[in-house]
Amino acid sequence: MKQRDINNYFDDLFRLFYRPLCLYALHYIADHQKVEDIVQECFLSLWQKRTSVTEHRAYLYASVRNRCLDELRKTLKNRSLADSDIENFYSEESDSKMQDDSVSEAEIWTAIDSLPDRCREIFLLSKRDGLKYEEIAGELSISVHTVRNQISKALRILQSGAKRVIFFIFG
Amino acid sequence: MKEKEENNLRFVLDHYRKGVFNTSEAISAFRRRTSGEKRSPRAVRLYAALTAAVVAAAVVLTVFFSITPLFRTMETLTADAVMTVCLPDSTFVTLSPNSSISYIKGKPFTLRRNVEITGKAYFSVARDTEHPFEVMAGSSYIKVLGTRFHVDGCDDSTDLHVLSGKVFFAESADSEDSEGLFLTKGMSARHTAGSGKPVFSKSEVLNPAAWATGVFEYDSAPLEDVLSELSHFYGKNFILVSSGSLQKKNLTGRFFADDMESVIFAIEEALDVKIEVK
Repeated sequence: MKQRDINNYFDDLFRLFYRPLCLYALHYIADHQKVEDIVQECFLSLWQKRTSVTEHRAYLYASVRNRCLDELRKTLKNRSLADSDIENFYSEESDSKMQDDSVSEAEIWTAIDSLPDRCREIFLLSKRDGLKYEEIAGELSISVHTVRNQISKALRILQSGAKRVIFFIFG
Repeated sequence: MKEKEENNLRFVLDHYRKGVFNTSEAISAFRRRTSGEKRSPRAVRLYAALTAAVVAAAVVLTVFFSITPLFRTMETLTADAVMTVCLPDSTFVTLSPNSSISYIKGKPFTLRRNVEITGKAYFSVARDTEHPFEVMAGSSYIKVLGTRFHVDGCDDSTDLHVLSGKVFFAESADSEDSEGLFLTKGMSARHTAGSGKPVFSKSEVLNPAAWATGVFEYDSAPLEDVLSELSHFYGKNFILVSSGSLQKKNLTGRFFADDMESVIFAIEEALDVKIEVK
C-alpha cells in the first residue's frame, strides 16, 4: 500500500472515530489528557498491526476499553481495593451502550465547539451550571434579552444535529 | 429516545472543555509518531518485530551448540501471533501463529544462511549469491537465491509457493538437481515426507501469503476463485448476487486486505457485479 494511501486511510479513521473514542473513554476515566493519550496509543497499536487486524472499529473500541480498565486497576490498587471492585466498572451491557452513545456525544461536543465563543459561554452558564438568565446577564454585564437570544441561537445550532436538545431544555 | 439524548447531552455538558479532543491535532501527532518509518517494506517489518510487547509474546529459547572448536548460539523463536523476524543477513521472515524458526545467531549466519522452520512462514530473502539461503521445513529442503516465497509445512508435507525469484525445492540439501524442482514466480509445489521429489501443484489459494503481506493480487483470476479466497480469509461467505452480463468474470488488480468492505466494493465496481456477505 502506498504511504499516501495508508495515511489517508488513517486520517479517515481519526475523523470517524477519534472523538467518539475519546468520549467513550471519558465514561471510564474522567481525565481529558489521559483519555487522549490512551486513544492515541490505541491508534498507534492499530497502525502496527494494520495488516493483521480486519475489524478496525471493533479493535479500537476494545483496546481503548482495555487500556482504560488497566489504568483504573493501577489507580485503584493504590487504594488497596480488591480486583472484584474493578469489575463494577465494566459490564458488557453498559459498555455496549457507551459505545453507541459515543457517536451522539461526539456530535454534540462538536456542535458545542462550533458555537461562537460568547454564545457558548452563555449556553454553558445556563445549561451546564444552571444559572438563571438574570444571573448570567448580571455576570457578563449584558441584557437578559441578549442572553435569551444567544441561548436560542445555541439551541438552533445544536438542534440542527439534534432535535432532542429541545426536550431536555424545556422538559 | 428522549431520555437517552438528554443523557448524552448531560454527559457532554458535564465534561465539556474547549480545545480538547482536537482531531486535527491528534492526526498531526499521530503522523509525527508514525513517520519515523521509511516506506521500504523492510523498515515496516522491522518496526513490527520491535513491537514484540504489543504484537506477540515470543518465547525465546537459546540453545548452545558446539561445533568443532567453535561455540555457536542458536536462536529459536516461536510466534504467538503473526510476527516478523529480521535475520542477521537482513532477511525478513513473517511467521504465522504457532510457527517457529531456528537459526544461528549473529555474524556466523551470514556465512551459512540456514534456517529451520515449523508451520507457516513468508520469506523476503536478502540477496547474496555467494551464500545461498537454505530452509529446512519439516522433511523438506528449499534453496533460495534472493526472492520472496511462502512455505507451509506441517508434519507430513510442505507446500511451497514462490512469489518472485527462483527456488530449488527437494528432500534434502544433498539432493541432486534432478531429484528436486526449480520453481519460479507463480509456481507451487508440494513435497510429502519420504516421497523423494516434490510435485508441482496448482496453488489452491491465489494469494497464500496474504496473511503476511496484507495484499491480494489478481491477474485475470476467475471471480469465483477470488470470492472463495476472500471468504476463507475473512471468515465470511461472499456470494455473487447478480452480474451485469452472463459471461464469466475475471479480476485483475491489487487490493489491500485490511479493509474488507473497500475490497468488496472495488470488485463490485470494477466488474459490475453485486456481492452479498453472509
